[in-house]
Amino acid sequence: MKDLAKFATFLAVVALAIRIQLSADDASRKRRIRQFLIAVFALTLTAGLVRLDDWPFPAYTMPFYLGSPDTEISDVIVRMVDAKGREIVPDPFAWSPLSLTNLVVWLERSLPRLSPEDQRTTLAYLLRRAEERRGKRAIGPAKWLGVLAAPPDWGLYRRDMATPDSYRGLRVYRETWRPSHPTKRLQLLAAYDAR
Amino acid sequence: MTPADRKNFAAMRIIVALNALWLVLSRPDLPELSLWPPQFFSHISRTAMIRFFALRLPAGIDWTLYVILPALLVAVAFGIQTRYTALAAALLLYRFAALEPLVGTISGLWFTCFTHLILGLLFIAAASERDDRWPVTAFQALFALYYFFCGLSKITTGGLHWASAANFRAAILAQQTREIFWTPWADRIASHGDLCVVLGITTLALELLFPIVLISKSARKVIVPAMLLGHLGIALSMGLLFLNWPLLLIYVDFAHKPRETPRPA
Repeated sequence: MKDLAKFATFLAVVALAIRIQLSADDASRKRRIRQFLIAVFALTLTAGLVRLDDWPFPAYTMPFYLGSPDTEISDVIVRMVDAKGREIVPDPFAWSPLSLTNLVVWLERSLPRLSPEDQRTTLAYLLRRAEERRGKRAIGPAKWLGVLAAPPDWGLYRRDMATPDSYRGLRVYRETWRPSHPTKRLQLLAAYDAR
Repeated sequence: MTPADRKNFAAMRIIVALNALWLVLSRPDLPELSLWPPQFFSHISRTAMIRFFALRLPAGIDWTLYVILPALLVAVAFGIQTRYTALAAALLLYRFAALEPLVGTISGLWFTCFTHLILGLLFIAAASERDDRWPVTAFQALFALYYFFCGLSKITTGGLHWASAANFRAAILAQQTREIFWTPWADRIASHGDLCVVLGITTLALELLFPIVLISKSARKVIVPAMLLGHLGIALSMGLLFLNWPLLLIYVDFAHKPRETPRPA
């Protein structure tokens, strides 16, 4: 229900914008502009101050707060396994239109909830997509605009195209480390091997 | 609208439309998501699907809508029937913005940077020749709030310690040690504690004081270019590019004429 209420706030703002267009005279137009602006700014201020998700009214601000370089942080990462059994850092555009940010969130939160069979199906799909796009530069965001393309999730990623051997598997890890001592601990979360 | 207001409104229209066009053309395969196996979407609630207009449509329809979207944005940039084109573009952006983040996390919606573009397009759709400067002023205020809330969230999360060398260094090193981002300036900045403090304090001050640009043209001349430099610095040190950076151009007075200096007699 919360989702529907949030959707209603957006629809209300769209309706208020359309009402401005339909004004008969200047006085009603001014009144309707005032109502539209009050709604937009009230929702924006509420979302911003309470940090409430009412997208598209902005609340997702990024604090970037760790406190100290010795604070432990962790990420979920994906590694491809090539035909020789070596682990390779995948091209971040390999699963476009799904960005790496959203893919790892899905792998962490949603993959474990699937049945073992569905887990195999989805990991095999991800492996196949990565293999189809291996070594190709003009894929995903770079397909039309090349290096001028906007990164999918702000990330200016390094892309290593030198992956001569085909992929045969995929592993998902939780990686934990301290920015000051970047030795990483790896915990295997999921794996798929096509052999 | 006065001729000056008209010029600034046209500039806003072009800036918003081109920023949106850049993002849309940078996601050329977004409609392909409808061809992915259903397991990737099984966790998304029906109400979330409705909220974000994200109901799964046949791939052909999604592709058609996605081809229409750039055409609408070009029409907005050229000022063609904006009451219809801008409104339709806002609604289509709303749908396509959410498709991909919904698979992962809706907090990812923020990273799509469509928020201000959707609202900006609604402002453009609502405006007309009869209006004064409200669409530009209101959109400038809305975008200024974004920076203010960024500063506020830093203060509420870390207090003044956010601007400390330790925290600033930690944020840069965290990005660098992820090893997937392009961070050519990370070492140079992180190894200078004093520089980290200066940058931390400057970032906080710029964000919290950003709304001043709405009332002071002199402040605008300092804060807006400084913010653009800040985005460049973040890109080079943390490998993160704020995709709405072109919207900072809305604070430029495009109707400004330099005062003529009197000729000597």
